[in-house]
Amino acid sequence: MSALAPSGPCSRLLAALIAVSLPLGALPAPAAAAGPHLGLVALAAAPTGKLSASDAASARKSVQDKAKGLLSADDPDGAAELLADEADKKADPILYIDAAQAYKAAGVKNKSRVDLENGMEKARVGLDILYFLQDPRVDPDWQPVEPGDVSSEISRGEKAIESLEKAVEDLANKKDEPAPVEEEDKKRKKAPKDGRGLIATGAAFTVLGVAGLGMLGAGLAISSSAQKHVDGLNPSDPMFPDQVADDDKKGKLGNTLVYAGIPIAAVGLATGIALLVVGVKKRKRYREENGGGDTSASIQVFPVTGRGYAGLSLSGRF
Amino acid sequence: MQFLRLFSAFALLAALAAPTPADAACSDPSNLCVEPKAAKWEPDASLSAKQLKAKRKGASGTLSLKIEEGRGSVFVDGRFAGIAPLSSLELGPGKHDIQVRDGSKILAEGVITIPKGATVKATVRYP
Repeated sequence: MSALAPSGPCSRLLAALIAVSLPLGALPAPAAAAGPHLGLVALAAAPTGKLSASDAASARKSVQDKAKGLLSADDPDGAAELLADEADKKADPILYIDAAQAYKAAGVKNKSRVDLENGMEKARVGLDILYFLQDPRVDPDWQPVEPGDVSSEISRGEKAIESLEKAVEDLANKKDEPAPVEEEDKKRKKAPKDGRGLIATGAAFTVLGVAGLGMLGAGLAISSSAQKHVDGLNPSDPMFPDQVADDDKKGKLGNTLVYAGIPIAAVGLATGIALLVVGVKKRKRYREENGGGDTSASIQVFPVTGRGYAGLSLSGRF
Repeated sequence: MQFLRLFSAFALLAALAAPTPADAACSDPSNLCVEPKAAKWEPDASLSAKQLKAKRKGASGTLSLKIEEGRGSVFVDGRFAGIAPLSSLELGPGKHDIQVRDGSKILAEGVITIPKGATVKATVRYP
């Protein structure tokens, strides 16, 4: 037994406890937000037990006061983050709309479309909850907003979305103006994660696969022609052994090309096509998230012939 | 013999190169599809307050929910459960009231039955 190994029953028990507690520690802790009759454990945003509008208002007040302080200290980013986090924790639609307005201030300050879009999403979540509060399915024990305030909060949320959409439009119109030098540098340093790497690698693998297919085809053609030539030979011809040996050589070359071509084509095409599919999906998602983008990407395949060669040319712009 | 080799080579290539089939889109008229079939979905149904408060016995199940090509929030048993996509939302076994909405637009609503210890996947089609 090693000197480090547990020797007594106490140390064995300790080791067993550590072994059991390590994986338990890695498990996500059940959120305290679970409702007693819902059995919801994975939710961080669900409020616990009974929630009255007045309780929600007093919990909201301290968050709004802190956010006001941050906004007056010209830190709309901090205010937006605080309000969004608390809105998620409390599932409070008013805080979601406050977060949307803070994100708008941050977006205008930073000229950031991402901030503005974050703001829109927060306002939409706030509106989802507010509209749900008017639905007969709502739990009467869960009232994050005073029932009389729901309609006015809905119109505040809708106005927030309108103003955010206008801010996005204004930002897009300002795109023609030259970007600040720092921002340009950042853009150059960091290529957008729009799947172009995957598409380029996929195209390269596909080319490799096509080359493998070419080897396979050439090998089959060579061995087939050699076979035909052997079949047509006259065994009584004195040159027969030499011609058979020659055809045998050609046949072996053909077989080698076929055997080498199969794995190259298989791996190249399988990997290439898979990467292309993932890359195109990623690009599509990126465009959906970031709106538009470079739409001039393309792949072209065309035949190429010349003196002593023929093949396919694959070119792409990513 | 050579033809056989040729066919087997191409069959191998075709098998390796074939893309995996995409997830089938939800075509249920209620806009919500569930898997497995043991997880019953009753569109437009709702639970009474007594049914909502009923104690649930047995192992909890989990619910994952995604919206095809759209956004929305998920409400379970009358409360906000989160923004779609939801992954592994733990729910007691039995019936649960579900509503998925995008603002004033209800994308799907009804009652879902979570079998004991089951993992239920729901897909909502954005109308």
